[in-house]
Amino acid sequence: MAVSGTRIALVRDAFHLDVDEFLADSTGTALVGRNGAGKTTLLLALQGLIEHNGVVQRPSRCAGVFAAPAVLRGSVLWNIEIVVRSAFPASDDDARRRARAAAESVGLAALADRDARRLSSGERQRLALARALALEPQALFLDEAFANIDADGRVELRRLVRDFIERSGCTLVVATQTLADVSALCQRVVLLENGRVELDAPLSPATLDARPYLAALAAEATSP
Amino acid sequence: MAAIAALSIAVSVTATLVAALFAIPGAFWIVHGRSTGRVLLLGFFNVGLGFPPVAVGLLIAFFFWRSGPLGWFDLLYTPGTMILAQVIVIIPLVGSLAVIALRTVDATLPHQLAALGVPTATRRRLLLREAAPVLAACVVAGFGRAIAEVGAAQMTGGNIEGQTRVLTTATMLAVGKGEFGQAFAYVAVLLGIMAVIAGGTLVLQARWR
Amino acid sequence: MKTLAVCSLLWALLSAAPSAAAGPSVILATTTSTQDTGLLDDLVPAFERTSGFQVKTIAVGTGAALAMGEKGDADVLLVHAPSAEEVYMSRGRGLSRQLVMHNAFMIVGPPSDPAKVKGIGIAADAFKRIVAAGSPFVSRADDSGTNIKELALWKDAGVTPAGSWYIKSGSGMGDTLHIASQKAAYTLTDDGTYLAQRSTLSLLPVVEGARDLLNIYHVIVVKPIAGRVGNLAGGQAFAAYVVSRAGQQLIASFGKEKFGRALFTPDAMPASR
Repeated sequence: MAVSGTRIALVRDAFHLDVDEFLADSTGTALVGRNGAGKTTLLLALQGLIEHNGVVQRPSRCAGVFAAPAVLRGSVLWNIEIVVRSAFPASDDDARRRARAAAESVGLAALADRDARRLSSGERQRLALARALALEPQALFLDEAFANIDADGRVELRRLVRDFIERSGCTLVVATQTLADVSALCQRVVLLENGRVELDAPLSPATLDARPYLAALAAEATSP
Repeated sequence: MAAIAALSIAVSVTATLVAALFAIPGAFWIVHGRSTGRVLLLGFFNVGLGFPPVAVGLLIAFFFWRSGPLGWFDLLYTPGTMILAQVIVIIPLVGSLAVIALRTVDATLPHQLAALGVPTATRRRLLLREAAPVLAACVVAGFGRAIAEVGAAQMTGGNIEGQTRVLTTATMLAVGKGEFGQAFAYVAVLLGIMAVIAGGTLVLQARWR
Repeated sequence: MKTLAVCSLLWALLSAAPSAAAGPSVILATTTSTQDTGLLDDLVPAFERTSGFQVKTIAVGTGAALAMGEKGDADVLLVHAPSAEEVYMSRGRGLSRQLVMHNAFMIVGPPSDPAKVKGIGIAADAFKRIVAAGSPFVSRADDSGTNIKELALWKDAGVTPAGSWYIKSGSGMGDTLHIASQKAAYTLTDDGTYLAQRSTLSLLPVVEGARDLLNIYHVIVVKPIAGRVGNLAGGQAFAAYVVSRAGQQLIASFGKEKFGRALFTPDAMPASR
């Protein structure tokens, strides 16, 4: 199920976001841009977490991963479980099973009983991803979700997300500063600048050449 | 002594629970609500902190004297009016502390949970749960203020033996009678109660960590 | 959590409700000196036991007690300022006024007696000498029966007390005695309270037994105000009790055990048949 937005306009703390059209599906759309370009704001608007003047259509079950995940007082497992329970009010055992499976899939099996507040930033991001995926969402919004994760971890987690998308047909929107995330997960690139869409095109070498920032993204991936 | 101590505890525990019933949801509304009226409640909490308890006692007595507008209920000089006085005195304290307590929770938590499809009621419950250790301290602070109150307790209760005599008013009477040993005994029991409550809270908070 | 709150609210409401037995409680407004001597701790429960009424004893001081009677905030008054009481009765706010008991006021002061008032037979003269010596004097200044008596004595002495030597405590008798003790000052007190607290004070009686130092207590049944909550029957029963044989005997014996002598002299002992 796709996520589409039209005429999303809002003002937040003197920042103006003005996006005429936005479309994402299971092929994956990447949001890139400088800091403060509006990636997070757009993601919040698409998820319906802040008010705006436009129209957004999205599936009924969505999951968002924030750049600085907030965790609850309790174990890693419990943090996932509590979220799963609201989506699948079936039974506590079922929720625990799903939670454990999700923790394993992101590599947190060994830390399942650790107090979530004592995780490192990378471990927190794994937790945030685990609880999002455990929901089996129809649309997934990732906001710099791999920023603090170690290099081999990122490869693993990107594969995890991609497998999930391919299995479930879930729509994917990814805000990121890393080209590797873009190329691994998305086929479409949206470049934001000052709250407006600068470029919205399929991912290709030509696209990456079309704007200085995109070129910088590409160059950064390979520069010493 | 036991009856007086028991009444002190019963009155103040009740007052604390009732006050928390109003103050904590109010603090919630201030921290996580939307309307502009929130400022008024926050103002009331902050300003009400300085309101003298003896003035509260006098106002309540004024309303509930037999000659007063609510005198028909014959409620003055009962634990009920003492509780009312303590409730009014500690709501601003519990409220303003609860606002601070709630703000210790990650401000983006409601959004992040909403992004995961957690329903509103569950979100509120989880927010409350996150703030619970600090909120417990706020409630205990309210209790401490309530049980230590003497002016309002005297005016609304009348310090009637066997009916409305609590540790603080009994202490004043004992001093007035020159029974200093007795007065120190009442004070010691009061301090003992506070120590137990404080200790209990510490244990609870440690378990919550 | 919510159930706990509801339960406590219910408890609060229930505890506020008047006792089922005899309708509203009987509100007895009385003086801090009768409370500070401990007499009420014996007298009131004895009355409650025999009568079944529940009494709320509010000890505020004669002036405040009369004010409460004026407004209908009390059912019965036990006070000791005859001049003020007469004014009260002349305003028609009392159904009955009966003599109950008396004790004596006394002037107490520092053991060194700087104003040399010891043994003077008339209190007003002692007051004159205290002023002349410039010795400190503590006044209750709270419209209590004792305070009213004190001001009457100053008037008799032809003095308007004012100045740094005249200390206004605004407190009950016990607290005032302690202030006087700390400041080595003179003060007027009823003998009951002084006796009860003597061991904690460094004050000695300097003038006692003078004619103008009698401390007389009356019980006044408040005339109810129409449409107001009150317990006339209870008030009348209390008044009847304190002047009854049982009540008067209790008053007569109060203090004997603890202080070696009775603190009050009953004045309404019914003639024995």
